Amino acid sequence: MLAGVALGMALGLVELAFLCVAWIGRLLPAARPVVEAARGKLMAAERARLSRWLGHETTRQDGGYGFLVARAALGVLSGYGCAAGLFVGGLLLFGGLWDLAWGRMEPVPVNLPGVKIVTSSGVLGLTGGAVLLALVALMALAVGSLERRLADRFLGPGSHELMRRRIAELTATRSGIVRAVDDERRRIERDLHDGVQQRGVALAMLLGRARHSSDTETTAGLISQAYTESRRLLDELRSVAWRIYPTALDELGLRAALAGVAERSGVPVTVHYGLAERPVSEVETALYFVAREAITNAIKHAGARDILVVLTEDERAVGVAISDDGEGGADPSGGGLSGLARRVLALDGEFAVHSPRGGPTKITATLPKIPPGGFPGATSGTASGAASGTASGASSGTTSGAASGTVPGAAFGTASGAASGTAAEAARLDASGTEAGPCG
Amino acid sequence: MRVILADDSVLLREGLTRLLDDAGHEVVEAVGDAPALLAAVGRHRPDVAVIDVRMPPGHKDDGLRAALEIRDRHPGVGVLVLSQYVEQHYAARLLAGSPRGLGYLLKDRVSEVADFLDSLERVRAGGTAFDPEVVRQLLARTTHADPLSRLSPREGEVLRHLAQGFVNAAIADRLHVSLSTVEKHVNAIVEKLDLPHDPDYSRRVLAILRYLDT
Repeated sequence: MLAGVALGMALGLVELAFLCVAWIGRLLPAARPVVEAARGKLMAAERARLSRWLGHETTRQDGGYGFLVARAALGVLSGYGCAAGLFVGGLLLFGGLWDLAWGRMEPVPVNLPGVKIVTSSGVLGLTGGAVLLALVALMALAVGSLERRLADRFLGPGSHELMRRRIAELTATRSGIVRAVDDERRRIERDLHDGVQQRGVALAMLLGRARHSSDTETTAGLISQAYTESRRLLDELRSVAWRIYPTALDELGLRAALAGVAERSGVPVTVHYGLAERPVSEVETALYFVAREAITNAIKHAGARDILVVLTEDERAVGVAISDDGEGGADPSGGGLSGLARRVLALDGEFAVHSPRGGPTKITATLPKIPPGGFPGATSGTASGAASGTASGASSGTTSGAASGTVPGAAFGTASGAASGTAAEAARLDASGTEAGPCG
Repeated sequence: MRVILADDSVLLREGLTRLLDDAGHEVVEAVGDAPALLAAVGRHRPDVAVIDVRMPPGHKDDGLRAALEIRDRHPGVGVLVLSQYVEQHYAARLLAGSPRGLGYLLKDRVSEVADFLDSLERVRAGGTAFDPEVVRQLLARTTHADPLSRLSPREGEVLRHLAQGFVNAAIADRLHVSLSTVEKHVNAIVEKLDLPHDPDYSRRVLAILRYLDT
């Protein structure tokens, strides 16, 4: 950033010179194209500098002279300030060092209110020089942030542009959520068809054969098989219902529902639950499905042997990060993951998949605590604030440090294999930490 | 009879194999997807192929398309299509050709073992076996509600059996009436619905199904 600011100072001088020439040049019709071309070049240089060092992506193509005037003023003034500071600071440092090196020090009394000391000119020079240089560095930082504001003001998206983007985003996520719902239904149908119905037919077939058979021993054998099959059918039905929506999520909360997922998965899943209170229902559901789908994928497609789920929060957002030690190569546009992305984006969240071939895979989702439109009980002010605050980054596809930093919350839920007593276990876990009912 | 089974559910393949074994039929091969089915039929030339509509690789109507191809390539092989749902569209596609040696049943019907084996036998013999549910839907949607309302309840019952592909003797058996009574009803139906008099049995079924389908 300092390089950008320094370059900005030099550019400021060029801009000042250009403005002086252009002011006169624009009066001559013949010179106008030359002036315009030069202005275009200068603006291009500014844009490149802003995006390279100051992380500002300009969107508006207009706003030439106003910006150049403001930039030239800022660049020249800050350039002068910095140069003067550097010069004087350097001089003091050099002088101080010189005095120290040759021992030609003169005692200098310092009289400040309450402080009365006698020091040497060398030490004073060094101290003064260091303070001045620090001030210059601070000023450069301040100029950098001022530059960003200036760029936002003159070159950033206007309110129209912001609204246009928001509308485009809403339209996209709205149709996305419809597709996600359809995908979900397709999956449920497949679950019912491939699992429950096949077992039902198999059961009916066994009973049909039993009824058709004349031999009592065969009949008894078939009926006993049919009984076993009916138990399997019920198990299958229960697990399909649970896959569609785990009631534990509503009743006991995300922590218990994720503990259930960890228990049911065939490989060890560790959950770090770092949320102080329960997220609102739609956010909680989204976090749950992201975690569960990521876990399923890791086991099914990546052959993971160890999975870590980390839930974090800050003032505005909650995040989940799922990492595994599998072989990676997850396709973000694949059915399951793209459905999750749509669900997260519809809640103004961010969704990212990092899965290089060979692994490991890390999937992160960050959601604003108050989703767009708020929820019953939320004041409209905070709701719209949260919505507009996260609007700009929603489609960028990056995650904001959701999974960086460790979570202070208690680790629990390392479980493997199918364990029984889920509900009791879940209830115990829930009692240890989760608040009941949505916050607010 | 020699049968080939095609269903992607192992559970059902096993169950059906046992069921057919019990009944004294030979399952020459049981496959799990459409390409394997076509290959197996080409290899074994079975009497009947029992085919699930939804199968890999596409998990859509791959089984049905394979069935149509078998009817095209091996007209001597009876085709019995099993479906999770009754789809008029599937029935119509199957009926585009001749209904000879053709069956279309709901998958659940395999549990009514006697009826299922009977349907299989009919298909093997070159007859037709359409699910009662297919016929019920055809009757519910047909534009010929008026002429149909002129049938007596008993004639309606006979019509439903005819549409499923039962021959007169089987209908007499199922309705516990004499063969001549059934023949009388059949004549009345042909008369009232203005269907062509056709002694050929499978052409008659086709005529009835097409009539109901419009």
